[in-house]
Amino acid sequence: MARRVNPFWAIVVSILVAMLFSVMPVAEPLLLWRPDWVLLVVVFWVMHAPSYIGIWMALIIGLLLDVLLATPLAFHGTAILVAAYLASMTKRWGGVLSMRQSTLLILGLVVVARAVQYVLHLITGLGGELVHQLPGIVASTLIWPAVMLMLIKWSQRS
Amino acid sequence: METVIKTSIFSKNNSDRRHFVVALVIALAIFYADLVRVPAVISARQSVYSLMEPAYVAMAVPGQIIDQVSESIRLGATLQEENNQLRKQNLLYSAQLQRLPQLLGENAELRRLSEAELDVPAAVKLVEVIGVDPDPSRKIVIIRNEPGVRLYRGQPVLDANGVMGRVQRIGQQTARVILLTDRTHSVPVRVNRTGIRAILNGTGDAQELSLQFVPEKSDIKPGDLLTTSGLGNDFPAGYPVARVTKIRRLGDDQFLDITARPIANLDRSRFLLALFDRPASNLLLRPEESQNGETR
Repeated sequence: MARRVNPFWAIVVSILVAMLFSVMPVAEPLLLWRPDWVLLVVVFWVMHAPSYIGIWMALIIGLLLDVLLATPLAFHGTAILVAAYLASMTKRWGGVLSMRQSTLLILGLVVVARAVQYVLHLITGLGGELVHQLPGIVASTLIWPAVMLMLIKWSQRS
Repeated sequence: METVIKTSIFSKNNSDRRHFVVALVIALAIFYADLVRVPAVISARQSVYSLMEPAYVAMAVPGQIIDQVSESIRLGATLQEENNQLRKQNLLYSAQLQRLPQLLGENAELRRLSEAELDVPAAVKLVEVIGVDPDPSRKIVIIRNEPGVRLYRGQPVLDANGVMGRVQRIGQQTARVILLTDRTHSVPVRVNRTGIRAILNGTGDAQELSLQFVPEKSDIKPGDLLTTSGLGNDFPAGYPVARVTKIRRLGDDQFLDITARPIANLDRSRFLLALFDRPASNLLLRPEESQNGETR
């Protein structure tokens, strides 16, 4: 891949769309299955355009998501920050990650991010049931290849 | 080559890690500041929220279009049926309405007798539900906040049948209404039949509320109507909230374990009524909280 496309607008648009998807009304039974859209998109850019989206941007985007969802501030912020940092550690060998490997990686990141959120939830005294996390984790992992294929065009990694 | 890559992973720029640690500390500091409600953080959140809330307004558009289309292609028969039903309902309501002046007069008379505070007829404003909180563990709906309507925090919100919840957070174009069924919501009620007072808590379940602090020997049975008691300067008294569904006696507990079902259509009502019937002492009791801000 010699030709690199400037990803600036792709980044802006993809994050906006991910935020919209995060508040998109869905039927009640599907609520638990909502993927962590913003986390997936941020992790993608951290791995594929690290000079644009680093951990600081990840934190800011997470905080914006918190404002949008009216969750305690830094609830998503911390989770996305941790996931982004872990993802950034892989950028050296990210080039050789196959789709399957990166999907497994995402599974791990989503689990970690949700664990962080769960702990923060416990601190605010609102811990929910752990089982309820499962559908979201599965959905996030399954949707990852689609997110990746959609955005790979703007990857800055050669 | 292999070793070069390896070392670059593991001796990995310490600066990256340092950045992460600093960012993490900042994130947790913000989390704590929001938890203890540092005013600066709250007002910052409020102003950023105003920038982001068009997202909710935008996401409501597809649903409205679908609604309009399905409305316009609905079969004539259904329309006819609905029309008949509405006609009947209308008749019913107008009959009920005829009694209103008499009741109002009677009420005024009684109030004069009991020297109660002046009764101002409750004003309501119609508000439209445009979204639901995406977090399934919370029961919150998002309503459109019209410029002319001056919603306030803690304001009671009803639907055609009964109490829905109260306004939790107010933005420029939207507001969030926390429903009865949210785990953090509670409302003081009384059993309409007997006058027993209790607290009705949400459980997070869409159809289940829990009635607390009803002593073991109380006269209460399934089907009893619970209305707002007006205590706590919160909801005005007399609005229907829920019906008792199940009563269980727990062995050694001095209170009964009672569940109730909300009367309002919490998950279906599209239009709600925001009630402008603020109990007078509300302002005096909680001056700093009645401004905009957070509930949690």
